[in-house]
Amino acid sequence: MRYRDCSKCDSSHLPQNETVTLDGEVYCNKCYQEVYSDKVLAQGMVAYTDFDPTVCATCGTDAGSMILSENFGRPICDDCAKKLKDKIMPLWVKAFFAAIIAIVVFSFFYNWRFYQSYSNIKKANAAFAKGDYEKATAYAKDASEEVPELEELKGIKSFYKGVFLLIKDKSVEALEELRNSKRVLQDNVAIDNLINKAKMGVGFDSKNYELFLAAAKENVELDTANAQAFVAVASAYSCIYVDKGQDSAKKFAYEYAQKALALDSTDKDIKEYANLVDYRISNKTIIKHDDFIKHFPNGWTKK
Amino acid sequence: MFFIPGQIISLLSFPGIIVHEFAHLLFCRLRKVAILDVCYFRFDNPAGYVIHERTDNFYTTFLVSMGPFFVNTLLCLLICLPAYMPIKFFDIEHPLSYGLIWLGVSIGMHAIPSNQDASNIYEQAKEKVKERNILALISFPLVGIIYVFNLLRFFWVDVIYGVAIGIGIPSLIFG
Repeated sequence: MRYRDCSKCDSSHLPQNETVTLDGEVYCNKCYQEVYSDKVLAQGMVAYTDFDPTVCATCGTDAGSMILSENFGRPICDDCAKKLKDKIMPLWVKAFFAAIIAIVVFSFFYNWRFYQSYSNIKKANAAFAKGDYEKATAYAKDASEEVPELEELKGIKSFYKGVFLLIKDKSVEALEELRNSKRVLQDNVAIDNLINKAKMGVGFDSKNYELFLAAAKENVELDTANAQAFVAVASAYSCIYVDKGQDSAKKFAYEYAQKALALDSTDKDIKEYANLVDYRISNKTIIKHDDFIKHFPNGWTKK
Repeated sequence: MFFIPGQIISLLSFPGIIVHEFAHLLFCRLRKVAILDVCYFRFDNPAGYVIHERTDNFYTTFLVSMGPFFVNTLLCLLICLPAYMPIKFFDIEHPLSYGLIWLGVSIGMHAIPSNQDASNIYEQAKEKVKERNILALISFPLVGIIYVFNLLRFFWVDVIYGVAIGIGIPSLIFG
């Protein structure tokens, strides 16, 4: 233990921890309280207890002349240091935080696939909106593989793939994918419409024009204000007329084409298909829409 | 709204209390403030505490008192983030995800400093504001918010805060 004398009164040999230091001068507690404490507060001066480095500030143990280690400026004996260390960061708290960190890190890795899948779904939707159906299919496939337990993602992948195959004129494969999609996504008018379009394609490609007609009529029932649906029926009837020579088919072909034009006379596709129907009937030739456009890019006129 | 005794709430959300006290301790360490005693969790009121040496440094007082707000809020978000996507977006229920949500929200619930912490800030802000200290100026409404928040704990506003951070913020980010 170290001792000091008060600079003001006769008190001497005071334990250092019972003195106050002010402006470099040492005072006993009594002198400090009576004379200086108010002045210190009023004038913003700094007074402090200069801890005796040989006395533990926690338990008061006198270490004689040995200087103790410090705990943020306060001398502390080894026993108190150990107790404080154990109290501040006991083993169970360390284990608690280690467990939290382990769980969080594990979860990030374990659940990362969900974030990847989410990102791929966003990319798939963006690509689909832009009309890049091939990319949309690829992203949707990745999204589905990352979360295989979610059937809905498989349905979305099949939907995008079905649309892509439909655009590529691969009606049979498109129909299979769209049917897979419907099984998962269920009641969805958009999928039903596309399934009918795939059936129309299958019917046309296999020269099963009754199937073509049935599917086209289903689309009309789904949306009676859809001009494209009406012109598809007209197209089917024109094929039946050319194939079987039925006058009723010819009549219905023209009727449905007129209905389509009545619903929308400005749409380029509708006008092209109506023109195609007229061409087929007039020339008794079944020709695909793409081939018709190649031959007659400015439309066909009856001579 | 129904009343649940504080001790049951403490038991159900004990990770938040531990992290709250740890946050005070962390900032004490960072600002070199001596720690005299710590209790991370107990079945009493308060459920935890940190006793540290007094400091006249306003920034230190502010950081030590507001420590839980920063640490608990950040941890709540980090813990809930991996759990958010499978549950909210993919509707996939997994015990790990629900466990993480509980852990995150219980930590977030205890992000707001206590009235004692607010009082510590207020006492020093009163003096510092005379020096036109901006942080001291900001502290007054902050202290008011803390007091109001602690008053509204009866109406589960602490749970609402935890959910807002753990689930609300990821919802805003990921839609």
